Amino acid sequence: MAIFTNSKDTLGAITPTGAVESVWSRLEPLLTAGQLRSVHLFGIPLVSFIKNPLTGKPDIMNDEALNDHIVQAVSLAEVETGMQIFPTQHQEKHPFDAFLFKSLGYFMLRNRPVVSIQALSVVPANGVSIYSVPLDWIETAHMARGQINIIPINVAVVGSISSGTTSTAGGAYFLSILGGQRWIPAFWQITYTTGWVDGLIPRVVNQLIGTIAAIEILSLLATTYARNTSHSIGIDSMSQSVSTPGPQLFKVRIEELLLKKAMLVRKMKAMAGLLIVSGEV
Amino acid sequence: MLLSSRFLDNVSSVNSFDFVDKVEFFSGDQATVTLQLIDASLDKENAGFRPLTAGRRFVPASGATLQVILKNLDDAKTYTKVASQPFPTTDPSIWQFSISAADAVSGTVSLQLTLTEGAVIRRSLIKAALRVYPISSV
Repeated sequence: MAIFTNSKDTLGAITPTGAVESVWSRLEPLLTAGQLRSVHLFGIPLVSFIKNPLTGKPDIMNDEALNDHIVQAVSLAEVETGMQIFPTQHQEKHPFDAFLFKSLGYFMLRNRPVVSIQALSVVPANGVSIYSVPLDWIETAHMARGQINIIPINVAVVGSISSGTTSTAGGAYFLSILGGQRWIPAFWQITYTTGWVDGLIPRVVNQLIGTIAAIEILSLLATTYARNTSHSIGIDSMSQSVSTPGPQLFKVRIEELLLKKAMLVRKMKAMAGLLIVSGEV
Repeated sequence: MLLSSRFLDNVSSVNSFDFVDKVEFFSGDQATVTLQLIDASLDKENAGFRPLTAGRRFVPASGATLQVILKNLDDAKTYTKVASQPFPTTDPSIWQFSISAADAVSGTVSLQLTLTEGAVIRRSLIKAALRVYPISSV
């Protein structure tokens, strides 16, 4: 696990953006199998239509299977949104770019939503940190969307500033000599954390996870109806015929859920600054 | 052998309890978590069994110890508990540990189990085992 004694959080909450206090709790733990059944699969018997040929009984989707679907849905949601839902600490290298450095040390982190930063250091190829930027100098106002800046306009350290250690502002001169270089690859190393703290996730994220799981489950259940689309029985002049949707059984519901999923993915991406919009002016 | 567990609630004896999927409580509450060790590799549904979850009750060897780590990315919020057996003679598969009101446990908590039976050590990870609701959050 990780140590967070030297860490700086983003400004306010990720959702709602920047929120610092509220009487309406929007965060909750990961949804359960029971919630998945009651909220997203209400009234749908989670039983296969085709009987298991070995047991002669229909297969049942129990809590264990639903929990598996939830875990899979978390991974799918993370892939679809490009975000990490559960807390994850990252280390990534960024180049020294003179233009970005002169723009008050502009960095765009690659993973979202960023909740805290632990270190911004100069780390050469040997992996040893030779200089750490004080966290007091790192602006985190837009960090949830991945942006950080180095704004060294406040006091970062009290006491003597002499040697260039990795934990104090000493050695800040090191930064000033970088002006002569335009580009140094993999110069900075940034350690930061993404995902909702303690796995307390917004309800809207639970909605997305439940929606993805429900689509998968309904698709599986519908497949078990594949053999039955219609049947008829007749004797002399009497006949009866029945048509069923067969594997299309949950088609309407799945289409509704697909639309809901697309909307939620779009909203989550926008929340983390991952929604790319292009157009012509 | 695939060590796992089922969570129990309303435990009054080895024959009187309810199975629960998750353990739920509010952050800041004192909580007692009771679990039954199982071998999750046995009694699976595809083998014709129809339990709530796959797995057969697992009784560890006498003198076994169970360590439970409440996982959190933050070391300061990671807790290691030593579980005890409330019914050591009648059902040694049942274990129990307490979470105190002072423990900063919150959100979705996974448990890492380490069962030590002499020289044999078995581990297990129970994902999203505890659901701890915050009293206040945005």
